Amino acid sequence: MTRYIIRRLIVSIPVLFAIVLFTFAVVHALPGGPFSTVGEKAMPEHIRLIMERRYGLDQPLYIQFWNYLKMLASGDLGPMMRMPSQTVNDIVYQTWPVSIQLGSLAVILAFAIGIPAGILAALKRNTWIDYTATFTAVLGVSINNIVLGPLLILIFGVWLKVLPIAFWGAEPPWILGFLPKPTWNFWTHAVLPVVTLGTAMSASIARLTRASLLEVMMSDYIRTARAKGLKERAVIIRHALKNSLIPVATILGPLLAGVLTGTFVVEQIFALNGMGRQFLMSIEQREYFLLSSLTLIYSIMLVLGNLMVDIMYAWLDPRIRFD
Amino acid sequence: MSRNKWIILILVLVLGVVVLSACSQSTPEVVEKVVEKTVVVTQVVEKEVEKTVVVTEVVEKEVVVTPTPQPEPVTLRFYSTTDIPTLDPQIAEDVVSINMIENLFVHLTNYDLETAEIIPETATSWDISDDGLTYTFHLRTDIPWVKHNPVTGETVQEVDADGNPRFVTANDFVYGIKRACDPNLGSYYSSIIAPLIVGCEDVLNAEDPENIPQELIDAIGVEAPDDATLVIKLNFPASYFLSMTPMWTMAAVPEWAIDEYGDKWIEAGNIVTNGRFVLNEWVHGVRRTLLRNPLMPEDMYGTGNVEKIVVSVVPDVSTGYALWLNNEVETSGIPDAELQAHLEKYPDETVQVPDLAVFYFGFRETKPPFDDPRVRRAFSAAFDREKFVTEVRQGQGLPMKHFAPPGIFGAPPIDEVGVGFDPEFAKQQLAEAGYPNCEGFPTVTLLGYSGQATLNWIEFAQQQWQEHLGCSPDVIQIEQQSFKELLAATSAKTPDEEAPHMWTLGWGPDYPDENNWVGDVLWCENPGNRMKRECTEADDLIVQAREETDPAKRVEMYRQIEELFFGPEGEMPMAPLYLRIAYVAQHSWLTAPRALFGGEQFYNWSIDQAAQMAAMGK
Amino acid sequence: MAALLEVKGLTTQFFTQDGVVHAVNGISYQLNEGETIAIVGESGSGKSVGDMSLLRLIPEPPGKIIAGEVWFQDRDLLQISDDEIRQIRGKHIAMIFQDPMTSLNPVLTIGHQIMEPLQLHLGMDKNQARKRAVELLEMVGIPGAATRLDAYPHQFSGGMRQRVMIAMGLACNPQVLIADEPTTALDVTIQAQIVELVKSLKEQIGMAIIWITHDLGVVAGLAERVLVMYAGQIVEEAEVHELYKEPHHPYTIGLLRSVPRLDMGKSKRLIPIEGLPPDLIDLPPGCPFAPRCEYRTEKCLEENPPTESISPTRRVACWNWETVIADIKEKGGIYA
Ligand SMILES: Nc1ncnc2c1ncn2[C@@H]1O[C@H](COP(=O)(O)OP(=O)(O)OP(=O)(O)O)[C@@H](O)[C@H]1O
Ligand code: SF4
Ligand SMILES: [Mg+2]
Repeated sequence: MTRYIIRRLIVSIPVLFAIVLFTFAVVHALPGGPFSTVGEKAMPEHIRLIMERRYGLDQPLYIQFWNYLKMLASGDLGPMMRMPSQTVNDIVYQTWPVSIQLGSLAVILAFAIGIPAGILAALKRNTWIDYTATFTAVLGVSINNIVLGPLLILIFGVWLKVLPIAFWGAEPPWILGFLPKPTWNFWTHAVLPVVTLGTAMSASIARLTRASLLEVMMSDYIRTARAKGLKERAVIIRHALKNSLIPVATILGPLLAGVLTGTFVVEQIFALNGMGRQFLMSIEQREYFLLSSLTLIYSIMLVLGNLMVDIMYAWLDPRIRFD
Repeated sequence: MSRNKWIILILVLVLGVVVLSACSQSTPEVVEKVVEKTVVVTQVVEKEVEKTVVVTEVVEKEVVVTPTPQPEPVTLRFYSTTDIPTLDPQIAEDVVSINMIENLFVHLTNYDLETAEIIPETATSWDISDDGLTYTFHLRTDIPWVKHNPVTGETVQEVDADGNPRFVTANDFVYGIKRACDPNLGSYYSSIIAPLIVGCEDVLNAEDPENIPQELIDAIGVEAPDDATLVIKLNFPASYFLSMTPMWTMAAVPEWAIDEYGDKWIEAGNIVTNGRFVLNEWVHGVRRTLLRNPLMPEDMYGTGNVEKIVVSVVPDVSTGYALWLNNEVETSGIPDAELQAHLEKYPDETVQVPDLAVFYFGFRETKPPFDDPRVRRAFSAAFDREKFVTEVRQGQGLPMKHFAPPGIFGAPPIDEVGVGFDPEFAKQQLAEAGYPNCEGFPTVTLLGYSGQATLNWIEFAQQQWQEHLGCSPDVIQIEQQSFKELLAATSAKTPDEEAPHMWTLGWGPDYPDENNWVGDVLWCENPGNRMKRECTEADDLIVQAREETDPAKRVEMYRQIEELFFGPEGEMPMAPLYLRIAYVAQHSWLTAPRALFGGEQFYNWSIDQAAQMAAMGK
Repeated sequence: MAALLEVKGLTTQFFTQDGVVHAVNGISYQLNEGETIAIVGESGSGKSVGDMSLLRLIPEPPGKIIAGEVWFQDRDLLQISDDEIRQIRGKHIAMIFQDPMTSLNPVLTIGHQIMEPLQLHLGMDKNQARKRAVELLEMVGIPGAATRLDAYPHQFSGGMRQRVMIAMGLACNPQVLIADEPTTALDVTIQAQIVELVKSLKEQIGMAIIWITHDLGVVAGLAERVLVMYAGQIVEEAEVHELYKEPHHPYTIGLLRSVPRLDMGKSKRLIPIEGLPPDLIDLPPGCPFAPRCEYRTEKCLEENPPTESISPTRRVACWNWETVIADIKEKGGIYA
């Protein structure tokens, strides 16, 4: 397994390289540059040239890319061209933890609700519990972040006034570089964004868990387990659960990608200072370094996420061995 | 059995949640609070110079029993849709930055909120030499340079190397203005002031920007004969120079702090300021907090009562408006989709804010058929501006017939110059150009910037040209691009084949003078001459008006220029359409006189705190 | 001999969307201590449902045991509580199933699965259970037992897995072992090995066995008594040698004809039973075998024959069994 992980990581380096190269080329190909406009006006030519020279934008693209790679190698993600008191490293430090906190909490919520709900629905099949869970899940899967977020804001923020409608409850400096201080303020602010992001996920996990557990409960080895005289709870927990989670693990990959894109939307709705917002801003403002670095970070997170899914998959199913 | 257990478990959970939420609401007696105490201490420093230190102590997490003994500072809350790009006065070029800088730094002069006239700020008075080339400003010298410590809450006056307290002097302005001429700052506004100040353009356009000769810098026409006197020399008698002096670009900045911290000098904790407020907190991308500067001379505070300003960053106006509805901000823009509902529901909490931006269709004068002025006149006159403002803009604007709007020095009265909308004239012009009823008119392109609002605008134009000129919508190919793309596509350097025939753009003033309109946008020698105008009589007049010292004569000249551009015989390089006036949501407890130029003067804003607190349910 | 297990009138049905599946229709039989009986019948005749009903392992819903009694140790297994039946399962009555490929849990180690009943029923701790599991694996002939405890089922071949299943079934020294077609999924040589294994284990342990199969060929060397099932009913019961020598029920004859025999000459072909078993949702009123029966008479179509005891060791459910015997005698054997 360790060898597999190392190999996967090594293999992903050229992929990451290609992604960054591609992004780099595409953003530079967009018309206009970071210094072509000032608000709604055009930047004087002379000043634009000076600024472009300062950041090496006058160089051929391959040299710019090479310089960028050298910068990356030294741990420098690049300058913020239109916000000179900040660097890309600063921006990443400010925003990456927010996205990660949001995403992880949503994933945790999705599992914490999705799996028990799926199990409950499967075990209480065709009872009101099952119907309620299934109905909620169908609703949850079909409702979009863009609809759910404002809806929750309206209900819990505007009408009931029990939860804040915007902003994240934690800010730099972070604990250990990325963890929030777990204050009351943090949790109250986290509820709505996390629920918004986690609902669809938890609903699809619940549905899949239910279907898969139902199928597993029909399988021969469950009969074997029962024939041994095991209690139903032991049958479910020890024999059925792990098996029923295998199909759930297969959707984790796409799910993770969904979380990443979901954070874009949720950060926008709840005015969170996450990477998604910076990403959109960097395209608009042609902050080349920021955009390339964020793309790189997103790609690394996807690679690591998928690796984690593989590891989990192997852990769940001994028949799978990555060597 | 097992079902019962489940039900009990769920009941317990639900109960728990209810109890918890009840707890969190029903404990108003004991609150965790951050209390600020203002303590004035007079300290004697080594050099036996008296130094005033005001400590805004932040006593963290003190448990206070209600009713709160300390009053909350009067707090103004609003939002911006980006983080502050910079707090450096010489670099700032956007509203968000400029709004902060206006309140963190004093400027040479100020705009009067009502009349937009130039009124004293650091300069208490000024003399202009008879030839109009030398401006002498007499400065007050009691404004301290201060530094605010966000951790301790202390605001301390800066001292120099000898331990003397630092006050704002003419030399700080000399440094700031010379700095504004430095091309390496990359500031747009450098190019606005550079043509006027002696030697500034030489530095700005220096051949090797990385090694600008000291002689060039020394030659910039800014001097400080003494701490209280600032002398600025101009290249030509630009009478509008005074209208530029309230600009952030010419503000005094602390050389020693910039030298110490470099690019990071503007961060909270580093920044040295001299304005009515100090920067208490700058959580990048999230929020910044300003506190009233306790060391500011009493008479400079302004008419407002705001003691604390909290500006949050939100992604868009929709979120901001939601915060407004929730009483979490005092004022907000209104999303287009909500505008009608808002006007109906909150007529008393709506204000109209003009920003003096005028929007227009630009015409490529070198690209047929728009090389014919009659075609341009026809397209301009066939657009019903009144109807457009009412129907498409939902009333947010004023129709424009010429370029410069009221409030700009030299702008003709709004309805006196220019053809504006005249369908008969339009038809006739198009027929004279050889396209009666648009027959034989070639397909032309109209480029707008992206977004639904612009689409509504250009589709309305298509209808208008069909209705009043007979040009089928197929003849006008519309396209939308991002702002940067649009600027690139319409640049004078883009060859005619690739450039659109027409495009949408707007212009907002940098300083309140006609020269900033016809002179900086339409003048044929502008590097950014998107219309690719040839020089004409109007351009001679533009140069003359720029140097004319008699205000009355200038007004007359600008009237002539506008007439030459937009009158019945006019060249019509663009079709001015409307002056933007935005509806803004504003809670009734806020009194907020808006600034037409420069940053918002929050020190002149007031809040009825009792009403504000009541609305927040406190 | 005292009956160890007595089944009376067991009836199990499945309530499906298409209708009620009459899978088991009032079967009765008994199993004596240390005895091996075989239940044979075509696929779908209700053998598995019948045996799983004994331990109430029918998936419910859709299945339901409608009627009957299962007496074991003076208790009716169909009436005792859930906890009590769990005490019986795996401890007193163990089962091994048809498909060893799917009957073992793929995500748990072999060791874990064998140790489970030991810890559960015999109160062994982990170490004890582990030791015993090794012994069990050795007993069922798995080489290198100690090292294979931590292996997963997919690392075993089919025959080895069935050995594991047997080890698991025998873990608690049950009085009854129900083997539901334990060899069907295996190839012929492995089948023989498993049969031999069970035989020798029986000699060592002395449990009673219910051996379920649709292959009469396997039965001969293994069981003492045979029950023939058709459409959820027991149509014939006899001692093994009696059944082979003189089958009474036309269905049994059909079954025997379709079994390949070593003593059968090349010239003799296998004769499959023509037609299909009846639809269990829509059982005809008469004898369920009637549509396929060459001895069918009017009565057969009208009334279902009861399972009659015709001697202390024999039962048969056929209106015309006497005619059948006579006919076979006349022809000189069932293959004629
Ligand atoms: N879960 C179920 N739902 C509906 N019908 C079922 C179910 N399980 C079994 N049956 C039906 O019960 C009948 C008897 O099945 P059973 O498995 O007992 O047959 P069998 O004799 O064991 O056959 P085989 O030799 O194939 O194992 C069959 O018709 C089958 O379709
Ligand atoms: S009862 Fe009739 S149909 Fe049924 S087996 Fe006997 S002879 Fe055949
Ligand atoms: Mg079966």
